[in-house]
Amino acid sequence: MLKFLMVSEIRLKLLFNLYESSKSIKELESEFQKKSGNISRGLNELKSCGLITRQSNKQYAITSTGYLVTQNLKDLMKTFENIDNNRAFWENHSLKSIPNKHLKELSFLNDSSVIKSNITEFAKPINIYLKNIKLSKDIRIILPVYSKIFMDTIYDSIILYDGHLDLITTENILDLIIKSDSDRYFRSLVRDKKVDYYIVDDIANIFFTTTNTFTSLFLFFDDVVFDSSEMLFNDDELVLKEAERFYESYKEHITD
Amino acid sequence: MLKLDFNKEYLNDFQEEIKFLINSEIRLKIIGCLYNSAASIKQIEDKTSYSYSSILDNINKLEQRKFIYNIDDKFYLYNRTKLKIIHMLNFNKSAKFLRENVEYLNDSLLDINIESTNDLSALEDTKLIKTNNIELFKVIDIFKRSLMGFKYLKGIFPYFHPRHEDIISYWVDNECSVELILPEEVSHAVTDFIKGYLPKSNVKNKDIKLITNDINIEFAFIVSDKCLVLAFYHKTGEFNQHAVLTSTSGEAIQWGLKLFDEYEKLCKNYVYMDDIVFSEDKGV
Repeated sequence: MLKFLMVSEIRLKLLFNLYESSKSIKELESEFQKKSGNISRGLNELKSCGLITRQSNKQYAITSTGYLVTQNLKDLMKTFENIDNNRAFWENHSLKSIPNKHLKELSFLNDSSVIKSNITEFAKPINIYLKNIKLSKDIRIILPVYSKIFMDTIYDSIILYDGHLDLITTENILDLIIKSDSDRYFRSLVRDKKVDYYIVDDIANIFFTTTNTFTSLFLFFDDVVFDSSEMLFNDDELVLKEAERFYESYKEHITD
Repeated sequence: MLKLDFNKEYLNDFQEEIKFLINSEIRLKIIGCLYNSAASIKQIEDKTSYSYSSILDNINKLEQRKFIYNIDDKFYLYNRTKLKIIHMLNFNKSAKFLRENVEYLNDSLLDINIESTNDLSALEDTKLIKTNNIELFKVIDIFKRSLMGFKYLKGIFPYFHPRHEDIISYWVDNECSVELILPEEVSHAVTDFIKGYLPKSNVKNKDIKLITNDINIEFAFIVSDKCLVLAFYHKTGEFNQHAVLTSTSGEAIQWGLKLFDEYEKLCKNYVYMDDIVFSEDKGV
């Protein structure tokens, strides 16, 4: 269907045009400034696929299927545009360790802001991240990196708001958490069921966080070097729901 | 009038980009070869049946259009190419679902303000099930089965099911969670049934939430840990009792949960099991 719509100069434009309102062939001819034969051929092709219909008043209208195809196509186009807009973020980082299923699911972040370090705010992404963690109660993290400052801020928030941390990490990172001098917080939060953690051997190189207030993504330059200078950030309510679903889907996938 | 809210200037770039990729089988094959790892022209030649010169020609075109890049004679996909390919394949899944159900969907009313309909790829493996002359109540039975035997259940249901005794007693007697958006009359009928049934039951479940369909949603679906069932109204406004789309795939279930979240936000009035058990006055 993608090919059917994309290779024709007129079919896609006719479909998009009829999505907005029903029209007669005369109206379409005048809008497109094309010969009626071309318009008729395009309309007949769309009609034979069930994407449009000819009504009793001789107007052409989009069908339910045509409407859904247009919605899905519009979504694909928006996704392409967002990928292009955040091109540098995607190209600067390695996606190799992220399974395709999860790469697709991460598309809810496509419309997010890229927050970058700059010469006057060198730690801008980290500062914004920590500022938002301090406002968060329910926190879910895929953690392939360790930083004491991250963990301490998370503990403070959970204690302050009587919150909860759901954590996916590796044995190595867990060792570092436990060996740090704030391990007593971690242990007591685990004991009080304020922290649930899942240990995996093979974690994707994504430092992903989703909370009740924001979601963020940091990536790696390559297989080993973490990039703290760029972060995708979003605090839209619908995106947060998607982010929670992504986390749960990832957890289900790795704990299967 | 519907408005196509998109960047019209981007439409041509978008169309050209996709056309360039899908108009050529060899370019798609090359991208397929590079999808998981980098490869040289010789390696691509070995993996495909194309000649060295055709591969070279198309590699150059892909490079010029910035779909791939070259380091030390090995070719790599840009990350954005990979992401776009994933989404194109995803669109094809949506298209497969739409193509296979075109007649059923074209006879159905659609709710046009729902974001979840923008990506139907999760419905790829959905099956259309219709009643026939030897299974007149097939759809009613599917609904009955999907309304029982679950850990959690969410959805929008348009009528008081003829086998409601079995269904509602299952909800009350089992440890499961139920969140249903129902027409006001149906919600009252369910509440009354539960009140009448309570004295006979050793109530295990308090996790029942009935939400009034106060925005006249003309669409029905059930999503549970077991399945997704979608049902539509005819264009005439009547509920179509003779056909449903069903799927048991995890992706379809996730899609159904997202759909429910969207509808739940739109509805206001609800009644909890506790309201039914402890108070005559609370609730809807």
